[in-house]
Amino acid sequence: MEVNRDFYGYTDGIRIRGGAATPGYTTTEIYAANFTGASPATEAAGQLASGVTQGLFEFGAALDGSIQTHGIPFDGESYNTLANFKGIDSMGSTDNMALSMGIEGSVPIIWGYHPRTSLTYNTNYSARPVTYTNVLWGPQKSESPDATSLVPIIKMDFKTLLYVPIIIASTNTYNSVPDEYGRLVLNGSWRTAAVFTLETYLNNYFNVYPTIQAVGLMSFAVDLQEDGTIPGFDFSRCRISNQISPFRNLMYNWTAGTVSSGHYAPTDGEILASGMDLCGPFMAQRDVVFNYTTTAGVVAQYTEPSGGNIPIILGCTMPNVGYRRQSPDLISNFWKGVTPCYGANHIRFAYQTNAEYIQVPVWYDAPQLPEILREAVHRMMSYLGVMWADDIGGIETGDRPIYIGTIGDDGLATGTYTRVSDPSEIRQLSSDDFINDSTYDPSRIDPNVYTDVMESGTAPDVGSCNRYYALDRENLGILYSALTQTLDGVPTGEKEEYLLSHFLTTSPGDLIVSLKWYPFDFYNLFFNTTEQPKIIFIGDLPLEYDQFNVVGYKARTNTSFSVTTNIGFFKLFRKYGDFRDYSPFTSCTIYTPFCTPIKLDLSVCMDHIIYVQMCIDLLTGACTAVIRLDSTQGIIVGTSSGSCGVDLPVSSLDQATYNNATFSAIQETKAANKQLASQYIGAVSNGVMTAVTAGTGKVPKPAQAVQAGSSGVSGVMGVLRAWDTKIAADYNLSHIPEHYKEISTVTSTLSMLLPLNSYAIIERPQMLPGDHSQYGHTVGYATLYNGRLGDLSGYTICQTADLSGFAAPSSVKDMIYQALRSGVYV
Amino acid sequence: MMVTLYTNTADVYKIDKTAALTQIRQVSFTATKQITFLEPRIDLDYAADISAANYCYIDIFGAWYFIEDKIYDIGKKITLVCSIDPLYTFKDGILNSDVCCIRSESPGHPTDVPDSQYPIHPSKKLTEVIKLGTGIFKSDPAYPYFLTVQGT
Repeated sequence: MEVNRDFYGYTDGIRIRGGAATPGYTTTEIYAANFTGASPATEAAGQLASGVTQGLFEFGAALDGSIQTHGIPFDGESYNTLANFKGIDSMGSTDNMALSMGIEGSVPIIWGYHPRTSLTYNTNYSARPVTYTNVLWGPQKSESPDATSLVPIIKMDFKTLLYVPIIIASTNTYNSVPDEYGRLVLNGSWRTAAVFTLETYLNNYFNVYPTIQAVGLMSFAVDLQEDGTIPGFDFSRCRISNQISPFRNLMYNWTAGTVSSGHYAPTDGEILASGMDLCGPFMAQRDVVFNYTTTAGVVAQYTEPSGGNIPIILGCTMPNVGYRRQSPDLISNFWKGVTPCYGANHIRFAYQTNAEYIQVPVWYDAPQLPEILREAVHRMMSYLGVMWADDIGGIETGDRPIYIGTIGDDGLATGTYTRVSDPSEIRQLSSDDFINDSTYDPSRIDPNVYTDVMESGTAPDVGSCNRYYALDRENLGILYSALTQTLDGVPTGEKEEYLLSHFLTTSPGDLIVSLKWYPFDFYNLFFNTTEQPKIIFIGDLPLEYDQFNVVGYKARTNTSFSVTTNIGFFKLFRKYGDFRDYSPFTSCTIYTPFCTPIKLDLSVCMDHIIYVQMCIDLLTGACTAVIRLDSTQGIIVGTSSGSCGVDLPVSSLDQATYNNATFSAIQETKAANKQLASQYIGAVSNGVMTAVTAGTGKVPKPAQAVQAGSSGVSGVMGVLRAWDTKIAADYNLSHIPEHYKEISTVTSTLSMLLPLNSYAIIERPQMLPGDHSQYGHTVGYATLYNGRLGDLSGYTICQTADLSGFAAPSSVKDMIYQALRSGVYV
Repeated sequence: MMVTLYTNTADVYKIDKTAALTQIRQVSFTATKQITFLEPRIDLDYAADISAANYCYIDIFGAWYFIEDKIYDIGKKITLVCSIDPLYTFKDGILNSDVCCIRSESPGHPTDVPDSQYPIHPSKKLTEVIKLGTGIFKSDPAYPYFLTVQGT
C-alpha cells in the first residue's frame, strides 16, 4: 500500500494505487437521485438511461492494505466504479483502491457498496438496520474485513462540507417473526426511496422510516455567503461523479473570457497549478479538457479580473448521456452563488477528466474558516459514529482534541459532540507511523472476547440395532398377550425351532430390550406422527393378539433420542431495589419435576430473565434441568439431574417363557437320556455278563458307551459313571439361558406424585411490625459514600473524615470527628 | 465584648443550626476573669430574657456555644456556663470536608449495602411462587410407553 498524504497541502488522505483499468468503460457517475423527478433519458422515475451505468460515490481509506473493491452490479454486470478513474491506467475491476476524502487514520468503514439509487430493484441487497456506531455504510454485498479495532480518526478538511446521503427503505417489509432477540429484520430486498442530506432526513423523514439503510459520506463543495453563513443548498439535487477526488486541486486561470456554451479547449485556460502532480496516483498527467456541449446545459460561470490567485471559472460539463434535463438545474443549483467569500484569496477546484467531460466541483478555500462552518461539519460528523479531528498532528501529541458524537437516551445521535479527554492515549493509526502513540500500552489491553451466550449442543443419532416404538396403554396391554400367542399353532416338537428361527432365542421376550414409561408425549418429538401407528414386530413376526395388531408409532430413522425442551421462564424481579433482594434475605429455588430443586445465586441471577430447560434422554430416562440467564442460549447458572423415565419390569413375561423353556429343555433332555440310558443298561448288562461269563466262554461285547475294560468291575464303574452323566443331564439346566429381568426401581413413579410443572419459589424478607418511616432519620440507611459531606442530607454517620480543609484547635477537630462518627444531622 | 443570645431548638449534633436559632439579643459584657475558648463562663447582668437563652455567639472567639448552665449570683448577676458547639462554629469547613459515610438519611431508602440494623423480620418470609409455563410433563400422556425392541 502506498500512502500519500499530500493533497496539495490542504487536505490529507490515504490513497492507494490500484491495478489495471477496466477496458471499454465509458462513463460512470452517480446522481443524488431526486425520485420525484423524471429520469434523464426515459422520463421514468429513477430509470437510468440505456447505456448509462451508475455508480455511487464511495470513499474510504486503506486499512493496512485490506481494502476491497466496491463492485456494484448493474444489470448483472459488475464493475468497479473506480476502474475508470483516470490516472490509474492500470486499474482493474478487482483491484483495490480508495479515494481520499481527507480521511486520515484508520477508519472503521465497512466496505461495500452503496445501493443504487435507482428504483431498479436489486435482490443482492440484504437490508439491515444501520446503527450509528462505526458503520458508515449499510448493507453490504460482500462483507468487508476492514473494520479495525483502531480508533478511527477522520481528519476533516473544513474546506469541504460533508454531504451525507441517507439511503432509506422505501418499504418497510419486515419479517413477520422476530428473530430470537426480538428484532424485526427487513425482509428481502429493499430499495431506496431517496437520498437526503443528513439534516434533511433527520428533520423530515426520521419518523417515517426509522431504518437508515446506508449512510455515506461525500465530499462536497459549498460556498459561503459573504457573511459567512452557509447557503441553503439543496444537496439532494446535486450530482457528483464517482470519479471525483475532490482533493485533486487545480488552479486554473481562465483567460478566454466569459464562458458560455460551446466547446473549449484546454488551451483556453492556463493551468496555474495542477493538483495532478501532487495528488499522486489518482491523477493522470494530462491536460485539462473542457468539453461540453449546449445539450449538456449551460455552465454557471464566473469570471473575475485576474490578479493574484484568481478565482476562476468553474467549468462543468455534463456527460453526453444522461440527465440532460436535469443538468441545467443541477448545475445552476450546484454552482449557484459561487462567489469568492469575503477574505478569499483563491478558489480551488478539482476536476476529473475523461474523454468526454470534465466535472469540476469547486469548493471554497478560506484562510479563516468560519466557525459556523466548522460547527456545521462537526455536527454532521457527530451523527456518523466516528471520531474526528481537525489536526492529526496535534492529536498525536495530545495538543489537539478528538471529537466524538454524543448519544442520547434513545441510543441515537443528538448532533452534539464532546471531546475525548486525552487524545494521546487513544491508539491511532497515522499515515506516517502505523504504530503510534507512545502512551499506548498493549499490555493493558484485555485480549479476551467475552460472550453472554452458551450455545446448546446437538445430540447425534448414535444409531443402534434396535427399533423404537411409542405405545399407548391399550396396545401395551395386548403386547404381552400377543407374545404368549407366538407359539399358537406351532406343532409340538417344532416350537423350539420355530422360536429360534423367528427370534433367535427360545424366549421372544428377550428381544424386548426395555420398556419405559414417560410422563410426556415424547412421540411428538421423536416419532413420525404424520404416519399412522404401525404393527410392532418382535424378531420378524408382527405381534397380534386375537386378531388385533399391536401397533405403535415407530421412531424415525436417524433419530437422536436426546432433546432439550424449554420449560418456561420468568423475570427474577427486584422487588425492593436494595440489599433485601439478595442473599441471605431473598432466595429463589427452581423446582423442576424429577430433578433436585436448584437454588439460584441471586448475585448473578437477580434482575435477569431466568430460562428453565429440560434435557431428556429417551434411551436412559435421564433428565437434566438447565437454568440459563436471559435467553435459551444464555449463560448456564445451574443444573440438576434426575430421571423421568419409569423402567417398567418385564420379568413376569420372562418368567413364563423361562418356565416354558425349562420345561421344554427338561422334556428334551429326558427324551435324549432315555435313549442313552438304554444303551448304558445294555452295556452294563453286557459288561457284567461279560465279566461274569469271562471264564465260561464267548460273551458279546457291549455295543458302546461303556468304557472298554477287561474287568467287569471297570465295566460296572463305567456304567455308573454313565448313569451319573444321565442324572446330571436330567437335572443340569445350565444349558438353558437364564433370562429373567431384575425389577428396577420405580422412583420415577413416586416423582409423578409431585408437581409436573416447573416453579420458581421465591422467598422474600418481611419487615418487623411497626412504623419504620423514621428509620432513615434516626438510624440512617446503610451506604458507602465517599465525597463531600455537604452533598448529603439528614442524619449521617461517617466512618472517617478529612478535616484538613479548615483551621480549628485539634481538640475541636477531635470533637468534630467524634461527632461525625457518632452521627450528625447535615 | 459581645455575646449574642439565642434559643436553639436544633439537635446538638445538627451541623447547620441557622434555621433553629432565634435570636434573643446581643449583650455586651466585660470579662472579669479568664474566659476560655472551649468552655467560657460569661458574667452578665441578670435579665429575664437571658434565662431563655440556651445558645450564644461570642464575638471575641467567633464561635458558637451551647449554654450548658446558668448560675444566678448575688447582685443580679448571671453566669452563663458555655461549651463550644464545634459543628456550627466550623460548619462550612465540615460540610466541605471529604468523608467516608457509612450511614445516611440521604438516600431516602435502603441501598444495596447490606444493613444489619434494618428492621427485617428474623424469621418470617414472604413466599412467592411462579409457575413456569405449562411444561411438557403430564400424568396422562397419550403414547407414554417407550418400547425398545431388538432388530432394525
